[in-house]
Amino acid sequence: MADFEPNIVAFCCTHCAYNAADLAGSLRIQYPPAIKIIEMLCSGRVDVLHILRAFEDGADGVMVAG
Amino acid sequence: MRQLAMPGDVTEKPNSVLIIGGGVGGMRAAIDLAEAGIHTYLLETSPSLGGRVAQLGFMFPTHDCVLCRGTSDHGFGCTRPSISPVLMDQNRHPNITVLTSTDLVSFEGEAGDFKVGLRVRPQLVDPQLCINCGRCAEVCPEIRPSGFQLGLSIRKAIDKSAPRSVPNTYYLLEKVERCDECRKCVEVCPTDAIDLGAQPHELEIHVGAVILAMGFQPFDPDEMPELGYGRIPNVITSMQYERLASRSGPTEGIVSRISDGKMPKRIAWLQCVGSRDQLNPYCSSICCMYATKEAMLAKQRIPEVECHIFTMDERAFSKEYNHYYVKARDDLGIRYTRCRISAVDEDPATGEVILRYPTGRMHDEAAPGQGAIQEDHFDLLVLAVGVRPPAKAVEIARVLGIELNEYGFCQTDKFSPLDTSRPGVFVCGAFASPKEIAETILDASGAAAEAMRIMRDNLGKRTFSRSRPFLTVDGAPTERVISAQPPAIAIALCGCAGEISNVVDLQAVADYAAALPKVEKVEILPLACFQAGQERLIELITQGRTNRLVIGACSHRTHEPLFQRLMTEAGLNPYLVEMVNLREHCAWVHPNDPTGATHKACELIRMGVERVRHSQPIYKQERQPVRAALVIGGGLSGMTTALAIADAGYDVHLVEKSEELGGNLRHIYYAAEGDNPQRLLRDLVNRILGHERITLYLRSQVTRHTGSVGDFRATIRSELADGTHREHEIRHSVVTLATGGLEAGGNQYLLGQDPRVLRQSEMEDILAHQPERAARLRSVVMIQCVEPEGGVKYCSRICCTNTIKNVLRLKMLSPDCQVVILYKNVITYGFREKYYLEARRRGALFVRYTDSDPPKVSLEPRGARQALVVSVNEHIFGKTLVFEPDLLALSMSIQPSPDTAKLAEMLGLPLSPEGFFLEAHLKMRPMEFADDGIFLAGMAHYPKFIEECITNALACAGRSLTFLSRPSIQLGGVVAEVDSERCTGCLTCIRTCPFSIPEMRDDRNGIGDLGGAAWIDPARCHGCGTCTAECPANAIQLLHYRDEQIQVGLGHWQVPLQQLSVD
Repeated sequence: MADFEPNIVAFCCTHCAYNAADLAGSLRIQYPPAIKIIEMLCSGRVDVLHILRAFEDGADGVMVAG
Repeated sequence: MRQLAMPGDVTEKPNSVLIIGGGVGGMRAAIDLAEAGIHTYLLETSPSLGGRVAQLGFMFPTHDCVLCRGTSDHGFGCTRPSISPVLMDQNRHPNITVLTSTDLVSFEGEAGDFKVGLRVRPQLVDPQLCINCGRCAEVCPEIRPSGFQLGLSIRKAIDKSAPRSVPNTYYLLEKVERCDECRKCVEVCPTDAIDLGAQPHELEIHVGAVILAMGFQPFDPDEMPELGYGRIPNVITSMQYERLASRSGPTEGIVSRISDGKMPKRIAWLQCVGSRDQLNPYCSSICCMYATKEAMLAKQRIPEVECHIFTMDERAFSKEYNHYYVKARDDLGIRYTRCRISAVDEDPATGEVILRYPTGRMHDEAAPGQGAIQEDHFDLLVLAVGVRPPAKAVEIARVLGIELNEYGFCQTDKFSPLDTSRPGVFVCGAFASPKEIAETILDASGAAAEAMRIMRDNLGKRTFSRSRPFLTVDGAPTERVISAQPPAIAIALCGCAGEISNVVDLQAVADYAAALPKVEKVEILPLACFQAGQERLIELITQGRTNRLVIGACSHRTHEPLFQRLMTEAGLNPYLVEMVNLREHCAWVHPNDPTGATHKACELIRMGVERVRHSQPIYKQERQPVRAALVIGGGLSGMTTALAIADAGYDVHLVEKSEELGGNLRHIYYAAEGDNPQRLLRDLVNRILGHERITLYLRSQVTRHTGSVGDFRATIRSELADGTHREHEIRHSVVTLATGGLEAGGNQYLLGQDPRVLRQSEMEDILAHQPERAARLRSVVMIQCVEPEGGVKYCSRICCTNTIKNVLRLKMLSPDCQVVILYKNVITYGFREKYYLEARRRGALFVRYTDSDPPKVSLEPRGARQALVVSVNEHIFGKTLVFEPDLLALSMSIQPSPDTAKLAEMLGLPLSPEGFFLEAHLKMRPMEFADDGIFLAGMAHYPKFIEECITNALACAGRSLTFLSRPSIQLGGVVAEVDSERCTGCLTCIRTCPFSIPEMRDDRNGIGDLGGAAWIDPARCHGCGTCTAECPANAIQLLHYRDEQIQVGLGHWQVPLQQLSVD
């Protein structure tokens, strides 16, 4: 498990969490590459089916941030 | 520097307005004017916009991050902008010219026709060329204290003020001699953006009006050395504390001691530092609340921390503020002690700050052992510094020829609170008097309305459009019809002058992407956003059958408008471009893992391609707004709004419930400041009655209200003289609610049972109309904060000043009269403190009582007559004081007018716990609701003074004019759409919509052709997508975020690692 790098999907509200990820970039904060950020107009748009689909397709973790 | 737009011929009357100050007030005023079709110069002396507000981490009482709510495009309701998207570099409002690092040097002319001389200091970095890579700051050897972080951290001489500044660029603080020898920044800059030889230059502009939005400067505690600032490391100012508590601060939001970085266990705040003293005899209005906020933030971060606030009064006088303060005190255990500490010592061994203060004067406790001095040690002492006039106030006042008041703030008049002493020059925000964000925003919109009055011939002249996702001046070329064509995708990968290409192997990404389905071509560009890059992009999408574009570059938040504009210019719908963030989300966060970053870039591009394959063109609706406004309520606020709109040339329907205009203003006979409210009333009523644009409906009420901004419909029901009714149907674009408030009744303290007990308004009536009777009064007691039983407790804001106004009048008529005021907190904020001091000087006795120990009023026989006896426990001496006054005046709560709830239901608007209308956001959107086109004025919002009502009413008028004056407004775009044929009518969307927008429509058929289906008004939808996610029948889709666009590549990565030719 030491080498395990989880594959994470992050649904991010464009107004806050996505913006925060941009800020993390501007500040050159480092994190592992296996994180995919999906931009949403609002975290309210995230359907439970999207989360289940992510797991079904092989994601190890899902984050909804908004 | 942006090309200066010089609109119009200089020989004509100018069609621009100048705003001095680029803080929250200046930005708001600029946006309002720009929206109303008037060109605006936004002048800021520092290199970036945002002012003081940009330095705050959180706002009271909502604890929203200011960065989100205030200075980015995050309005409440998430998708409605509050301040800055129109100021962001790639999507700037075409009617706003931003001039940073610019100072005013000369000023001449008259209202409507001013000539202004400006001097622009060079920033030495061209914002057009700066790509924010930060290499210049990396190599710069010159270290300076960071002004943005208030000296708590350092910056380089060449740096940004904050990571996300507007304009988004690096700049050189000041050029020193060594710079010319060093030149490291020039050498390292990949885009040659730095020119150390740039010189200041002068500009002359021609404007019709000027708005001063210069804000304030915090009091400098060096002036009070006894408080230890500068001498004791752990004594800091409240602004420094804001930076410590901010997530973008030097400690990323962790509050720590300055001396050793340890987490503090005990923090104290000293209130009124630089306020309410001999040198600054006014109240700074905001400190009680911000100190409470700061203490609450400490409690949230460090659960075991003890917070202790030393204060004179707790001035929590706005909507929900009292609730906030009670929560801080009772739920979080923040201690408030009433005293003024005038000496601070340090324990040199521990770095602790030593405070000595008298015990037994805490709130709600009339404690024994009075006066004993207690000594306490604190890890951190925060000085709650007051509000001083802006640093350049004297200089700018001299250049502009305007007067300052006795405190150095801008001189204004009670009945024209936004006018300076020079016609055509207006003021907003803290430069007029200390005030918080919400009031500054109201001021700003009000000042914009005053400027619009002068510029009325220019209203709506500089047209612009929101028909696209970005702002445009002119219409776009005709769009190619692509519906019949299969997707043909071009991909552009931007190297960002090495920022991306130095980490990500773009050739490998290009090779991978070229093989993806529907991809026609892939190209690597050195800088996609520069002129050459843009030209090449246009070629890419106009050649061949390409109809969609994926750009692997930076964040869509900064650059999407630019590329959407390119698409439009190339004849494609702007929603057919997809940005993939290879910079902020990839290269910049994985610089040490080029293989991983390249792998991720491939995966992200694959998802972008999948997504854009499903993208469809989106169009907005055009709507010509009806050129009329509805104003509900004919009091001071309603009349002021109606006149300002009508004066600009638009029709107004003014609806008043009673048989005469004036509302509460009819019963105000004098003001503390000495002005005559009855003169104001007569003037307003005469102007309303004589105005050709105003239709007045007396004895009338709105009984029906439907529609959305630009096209509202209402029924007005009027009672005629013979008792019958008539209904009027009207159409209007905007509506202002100015239904006011009223003084509560009740039976507390024998009110209504003894004729000597009366309400403060009746006291005013006696003082104004029966001076002989008043002159005979020998003893009067007044009780503050008399609230109806069982209601929500809140401060009615105006009563203390109102009481003091009556005290001063009474002392004038009967100088020997004993006047006693029983109070909980004296709320004389701002310059009103003067009248409090004056009342005390004249001998009025102020005695504090507490909720747990209120005064007692009874009737006691004294021979043949009944004496009115008032007794109260005096908390300093611990004695009971007994009075037998001639009159007892009660300050009753101000309540919303009785029809407020009914009207709120009709318009679908929320109410606050106190029963007033609840605006969209307490701070950033204080006069609006989630629905556009509905505005809130005066006491329907919260109890207010005359000058505050006028400002608020003007703000509503100004905002109304931004809709009324536009040739066309654009609605819809990225909104939710119901596929009626799949709708089962389950009402889930109606229940889950945070804005109550979906409705069941009989004229639509649902699944199986059954009658009735949900419908979502595109003019009102905010695009949050909650209904889409919740709809069990999958009948709703959010455009541009359809399921098929989201459900791509959510799982494991499909890009095989070995395929990547990473060297």
